[in-house]
Formats: sequence, C-alpha cells, structure tokens
Amino acid sequence: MDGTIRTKVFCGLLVTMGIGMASIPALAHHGTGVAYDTNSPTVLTGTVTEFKWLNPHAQLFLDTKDTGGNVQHWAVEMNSPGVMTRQGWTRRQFKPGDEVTITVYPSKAGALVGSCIGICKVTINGKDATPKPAPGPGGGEQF
Amino acid sequence: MRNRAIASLATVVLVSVVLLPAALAQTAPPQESGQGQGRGGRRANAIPPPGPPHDPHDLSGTWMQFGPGLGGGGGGHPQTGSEWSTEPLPLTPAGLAKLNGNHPGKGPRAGVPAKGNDPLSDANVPGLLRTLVYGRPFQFLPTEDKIVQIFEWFRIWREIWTDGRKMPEDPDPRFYGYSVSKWDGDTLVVETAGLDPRLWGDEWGMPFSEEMRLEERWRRVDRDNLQLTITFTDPQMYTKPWTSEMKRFRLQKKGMPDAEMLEVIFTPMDEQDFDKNIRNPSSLGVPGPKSGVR
Repeated sequence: MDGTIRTKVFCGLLVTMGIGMASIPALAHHGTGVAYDTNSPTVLTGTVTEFKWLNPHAQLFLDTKDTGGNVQHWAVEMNSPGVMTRQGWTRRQFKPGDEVTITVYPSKAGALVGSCIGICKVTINGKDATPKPAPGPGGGEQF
Repeated sequence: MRNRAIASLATVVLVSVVLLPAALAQTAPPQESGQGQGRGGRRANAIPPPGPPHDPHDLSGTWMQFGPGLGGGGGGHPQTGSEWSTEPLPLTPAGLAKLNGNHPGKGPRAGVPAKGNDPLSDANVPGLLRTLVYGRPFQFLPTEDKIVQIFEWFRIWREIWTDGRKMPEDPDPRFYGYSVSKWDGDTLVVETAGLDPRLWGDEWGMPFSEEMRLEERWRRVDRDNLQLTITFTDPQMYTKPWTSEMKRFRLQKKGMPDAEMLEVIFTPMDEQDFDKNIRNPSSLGVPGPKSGVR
C-alpha cells in the first residue's frame, strides 16, 4: 500500500468514525414518542406567543413565517417542568414577544407541532439558551 | 511523515471512539442527554464502587435509578418484553391477550399516543410497579413499625410494614398495594399483594392480574448504592414466576439535582390541555387550538 492509498484509507477511517460519533446522539433519539419524525430535525424561527409550564410536558407556542410570508402557528412539546427545572430552566424561560430559534422534530402526521425534549437546542433573543442535560435517566424525559 | 501523523491521529480517534465511551460508561455519573432520548437510553451496568461505611439495614435517603433496563425506546426488545426484563415475558394465553389489549405510546409495541389506551394519559396514577421502574427520585423514611416510601412521581407514598405482621388473606386492590417485610441478612424482602390490575406494570403495557404477588428484594450494597430485584408471581398472566433484572439506584446527596423531590403531579386539567394542544394534533395531524397543519 503506497503512501497515497494509506492516506486515503486513514482519511476514510476518520470520516467514518466522525460519522459514527455524530450518529451516537441520533441513535439515542428514540424514546420521546412515535408521533415525531426524529429523522427530520427542523429549525423554527419565530415569535413566542405563549409558554405553558405544565405537566406532563411544557408547551411553547410561536408564530413563524413560511417562504411566502404567511404566518404559521406552531406548538412545541418540551420536557416536564420538573425535569426542566433540573436543567436550569424556569417558568419564565420564554415570554410573549421573544424571538426564538428552536430545533424541533416535527409531527409525522403533518400538524404544526414539534418536540424539543432533553437537549433542546434553542436561542432566545439571539442568546443561546440550550439547557444542560437533566440528571437521571434519559436526560429526564417524563411521559 | 504526513502519513505517520495521520496514522497517529487515526489512532487517537480510534481510542477516543471505541475505548473512551466504554471507559466513561464505567465511571460516569448516571446521566444522559439528548433531545427526545427519553428513557430509552441504556447505560452501562456499572459496578458500584466501594462506598463509605453504612448500615445495610438503613435504607433512608433519596434514591434515583440508573443503569440498564430503562425502557422507552424498545429497539431490539421483544414484542412480549417489559421494562422489568430483557427476556420475553412467560405469558399465559390470558396474559398475552391482556398485553395485546394494552396499547402503549412507548416501547416495542408503541403506537401514536392519541390512539393508545395508556391509563396515564387520562392522568390516572401510575401505581406501584410503574413508579418503581420509572426513573424518578424516591425516598425511604424508616419509622418504628414501617418504612414509608415516598415518590416524586405523582407525589405519592406507600407503607412497607416492618412490625412482623402477616399479609392479609385477601387484600383489597390498591394502586400501590399492601406490603409487609422482613430482613433476610442484609436484604429487605418485601411481599406485596393487592395490586389493582387496571393499571400497567410498566410503560410498555405489561399486564398483571389481581393475583399478582411481588417479592421485592432491596439491598443497600454500600452507602451510595441500592439494588432491587422483583420476583413476579401471577398464575393468571404468567406461566411461571419470573424475576426482574436488577434495578440500581444511587443515593442523591444534598446538593445533587435530584436530592430534593419536586411536585410532579399529572392532573386531568393539565392532561386535557396537553391532549388538545399537543398530543392529539401531533398524533393525528389535526390542527390544534394554537397550531395549524402543513
């Protein structure tokens, strides 16, 4: 095996491992509910209209705009208040008017509903507000 | 030279990818992360490290489950599996029929939650078995004649009698059963009966009947680690007694996030609100009061 081939093999190995590492979290994304398409993470950018800090899971409502400029009303399922508390979030995490960018798994059935549970990647008014992992099983998801 | 550098880098990556996670799995605190990961993650079955001196007959403290056996995802689990065991359940025909009549939103038989019949979706209490297998904190409070076990999930408790009393002949069905106990060496052996069979034994719809008897074996192996196995005996649902895999719990010391139990109560008004806004639209593709459809 000459040097060039060895280089390609090693590079291939690195790429493969990189993909493998990147897929570790994805493989774990299976427990929150079969209603959501965990293969299609979707970034929503919009304005908060309401945040409900309730069991079994908190609910975030926001208005986004589609490519035609039409307003779309989204609902986002989040974690339970107990788990979110342990992640450092509070019932005042979002307030109406906040500009947010949030990555959700959208409903498979076509509703404008998504889930953002566990490590919920989110910015609020331009600041990263992604929480730390919850202690305990599964990052703490509760039914 | 360049190739050597790449080879070295590849070796480092290989070690990082293959060996480091395994090493971490043996030593990491019981935490997981990941969006939507839920309770399906399966973590290393770490051997508890030797702890400081402790009284093995004192179970007091706040405990949190860790380790393998936490269900929820179901990949690779048998259709007749349970969060209590990695083995298929030894179901009788009646047991299989009841299992198939339970339609969960989680596990290997999961369907969309809005079309399921999980009692919890209507804000019914989870009951003893489901609470024990679910990974939320609980606390043991020993008293003179009983140990009170209080659970964060639904903010509820049960009594484990330690005063030598016998199990009643025909205990009434209760959501959290009737429990008497004795010590077998350093293991607290708890006999539990009188479990209301309308509930499920786990989140996957594990069935049980009013004949279900549990032998819970709790053992505090050191100050920080507690173990539980349960033997299930229920001739209506199972062809033979079967024993759970070992569930492991770690002491939540002051300052740890789960040391202080929160109020986690599901109420009908909250469940209905969640159904209307989230569960039904996401499952059925119908618009919610505050969401549309694509």
